[in-house]
Amino acid sequence: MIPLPIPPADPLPLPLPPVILKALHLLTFALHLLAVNLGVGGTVLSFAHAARGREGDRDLVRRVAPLLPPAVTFAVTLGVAPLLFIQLSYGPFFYSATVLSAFPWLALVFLLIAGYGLLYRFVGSVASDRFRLWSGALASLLLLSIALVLANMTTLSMRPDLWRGLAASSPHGTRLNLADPSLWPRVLHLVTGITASAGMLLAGWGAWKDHAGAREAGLRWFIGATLCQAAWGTWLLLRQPEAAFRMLLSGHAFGSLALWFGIGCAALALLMAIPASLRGAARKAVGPPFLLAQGAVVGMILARDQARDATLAAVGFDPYALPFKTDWTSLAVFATSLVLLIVLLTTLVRWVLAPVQAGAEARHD
Amino acid sequence: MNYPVWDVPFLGSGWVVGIMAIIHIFLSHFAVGGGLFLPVMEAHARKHGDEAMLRWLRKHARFFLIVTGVAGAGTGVGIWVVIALANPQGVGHLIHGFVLGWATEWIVFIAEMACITVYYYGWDRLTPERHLKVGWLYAICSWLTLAVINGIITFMLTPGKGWAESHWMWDGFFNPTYAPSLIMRTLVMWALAGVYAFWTAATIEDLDLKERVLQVSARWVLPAYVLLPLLGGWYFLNIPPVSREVLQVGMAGAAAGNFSMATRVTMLTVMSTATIGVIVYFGPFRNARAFTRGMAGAVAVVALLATGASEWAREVARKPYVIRNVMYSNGVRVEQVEAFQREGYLPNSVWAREYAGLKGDTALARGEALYRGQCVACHTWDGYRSMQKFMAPRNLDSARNMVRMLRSRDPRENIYAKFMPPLAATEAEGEQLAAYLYQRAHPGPAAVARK
Ligand code: HEC
Repeated sequence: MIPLPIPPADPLPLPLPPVILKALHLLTFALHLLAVNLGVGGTVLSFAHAARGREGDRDLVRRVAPLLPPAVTFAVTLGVAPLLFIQLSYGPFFYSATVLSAFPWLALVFLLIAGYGLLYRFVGSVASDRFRLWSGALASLLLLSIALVLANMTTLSMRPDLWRGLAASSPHGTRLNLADPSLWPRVLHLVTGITASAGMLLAGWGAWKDHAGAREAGLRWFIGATLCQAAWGTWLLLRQPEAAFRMLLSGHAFGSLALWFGIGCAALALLMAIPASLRGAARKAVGPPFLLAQGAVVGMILARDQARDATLAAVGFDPYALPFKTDWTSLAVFATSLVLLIVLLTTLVRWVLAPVQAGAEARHD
Repeated sequence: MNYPVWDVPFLGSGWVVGIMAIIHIFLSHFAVGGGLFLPVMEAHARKHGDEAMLRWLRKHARFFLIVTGVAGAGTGVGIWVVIALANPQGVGHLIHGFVLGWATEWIVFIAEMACITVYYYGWDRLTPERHLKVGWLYAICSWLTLAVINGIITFMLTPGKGWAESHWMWDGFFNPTYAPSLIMRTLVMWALAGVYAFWTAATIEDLDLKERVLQVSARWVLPAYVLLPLLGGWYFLNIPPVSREVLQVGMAGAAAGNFSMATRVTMLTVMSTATIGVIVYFGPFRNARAFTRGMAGAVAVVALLATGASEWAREVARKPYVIRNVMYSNGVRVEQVEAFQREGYLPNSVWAREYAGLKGDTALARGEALYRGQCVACHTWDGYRSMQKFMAPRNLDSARNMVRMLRSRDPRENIYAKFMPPLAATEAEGEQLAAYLYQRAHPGPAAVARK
């Protein structure tokens, strides 16, 4: 049998133990996902409410929409870190996949810029009477289509057995890897997950700002999307590569526990959200399902990571086996800047949340 | 070629990177320059109680937020995407060598984004003092993003002495061009801050205000104007002598009668800078009231040209390396050349074997795999640096001689050594490459029959 064309890893050692890099990778990915849920999911929800256009909807959109552009900014910024870590630990798989599907991968940049630009246009219009619905629709569509690009890269990077065929059929890297059976369920899972999480974040915002409409609408979004998720999620699970599938269903591997923890959290959140939404979405009824939904996301992030490692282990790759040599000086610089960042962020948040100056509210435009 | 190779027809992957980089640099330098511009102008306006200017500044901040946040950050991600497509080995190596540098850059980047977000959205929420403080913080953070990334960019051209042995980040970070480059870029950023301000100020209706804003903004262009030639000289003295020579004489042996590379770039830069100077003096400075969007656009275009020319020169100076003396543009590391020439390129390259295998592993297929692995990083077949054009006038012998010469690492034997990597392959592989190049450039009846 001809060996799979998996490139060797870069010869330079990692500057930190792989475990630590993995932890940072997952942490930054979780933060990135939170911002994506808020920014991209929020865009979809805002557009949908704007399109329905009842007075309550319009009021909701007016209040929520200004949060979206900064959320997308942070989604982008926070996304850079996991992108870095993935190149570091999974370079041979990441680079091969992106080059083989280069143009779709490059499209990410244009989808992002166009979607984000249109989002600004949409948000800029909600203060007026005439919402720019087309901009909102396109912004949602473009930003969501990034899910397809990312799912394509992720699935392709885990399937070195498909690389040869793609290289032969697409020498310039113009195609998506449609040969992977998990691509479409993965995209659906992602899009629905973003929508469900955005719904819960909206409900959470409604609890914080005491906005009953937001709580009710948010819970409904969460319920609807999560119910769909049961179908897509099962589909995605069944389409996992062999090794990942066995690991996820084993019931004792860490990834399997994470998956069932995630599913359990989601199910429980659903069970609490349904009655809450039927009984007027009281403020304190939002807290527990909100936390459970975040738990579900964390569980899924861990399960996803473990599924990847299991799949790659089947082709002989172990990210923990990469050589490393801890670079203490650089680590100190990094840690110092991290501490400074936290100080800065807390200060900024404190300033923003400080009571508004008298008379300032009137000048809002 | 351990990785698949991204073959971009006509343009070449290098230009995809180049285009993305020039746009990004134009936008991100604005972000950094504008970072200082905003608080300085705000302080000025508040001190003089200039409410009109504050209102304009707020509009300008919005423009700033959108341009840098959407297009600046978007193309920033774009750079990551395209460099990794064009040169996975190079990027992988840089990331391994500098992860914690990138990670620190990322921290600063988040701080920068947080500051500008609060600066814009907090315009009414924050007290004036705090608002101004956020502006200063933003200025600091955005400049720090430059200070960090500058270490990595300059490392690629001048890795410094110690890094090759120690592989320790800081040996590469503070390298000979770090300081001149940092200062030069800072000045350019201030200049760009002024140039962007022309754009939003050009449509101010209150003519008194317009004049105030434009005249102050014009001053931002000045330092770069006066100091750049000096700094450029300092930078030039610090790049490796070979690069200096390539810049001076141009690449293909400075064909007699043509302008050399350096002359062309210098002329372009000088001319565009002179144009900017003239427009700025007679436009925003002397005749601010009559200044229009069109003129502002013209200044921006010329500034983009100057940015492009100088970034391009930096790229040229780095040829044939991605990381000077460490890795060639085609991903072959300098230390690997000898082994590849002895043992062969294909046996050592996962994807070269793969590409040859996809076409039946014939001699021609191996030649093609070599071409893809070692030449496509800088050449396209029939577009930029067209191989077709280079090969058409040659017969098979001349193609063979050329490839044989490419194997030599001695610049006295290999006249291409200054801008092309040595061919890292055995003699037999070289023959296959020559045969492939010749055949593809001369598709005679034999080639047609093969199809
Ligand atoms: C680092 C980038 C780089 C790589 C890699 C590279 N070249 Fe070149 N090559 C150049 C440059 C730059 C020129 C000069 C182009 C010009 O004159 O416009 C050039 C010119 C040439 C010429 C024309 C020389 C002449 O004087 O007629 C040939 C032939 C050529 N390259 C072949 C190759 C082959 C074969 C390979 C792969 C083994 C290769 N190059 C790899 C950069 C590169």
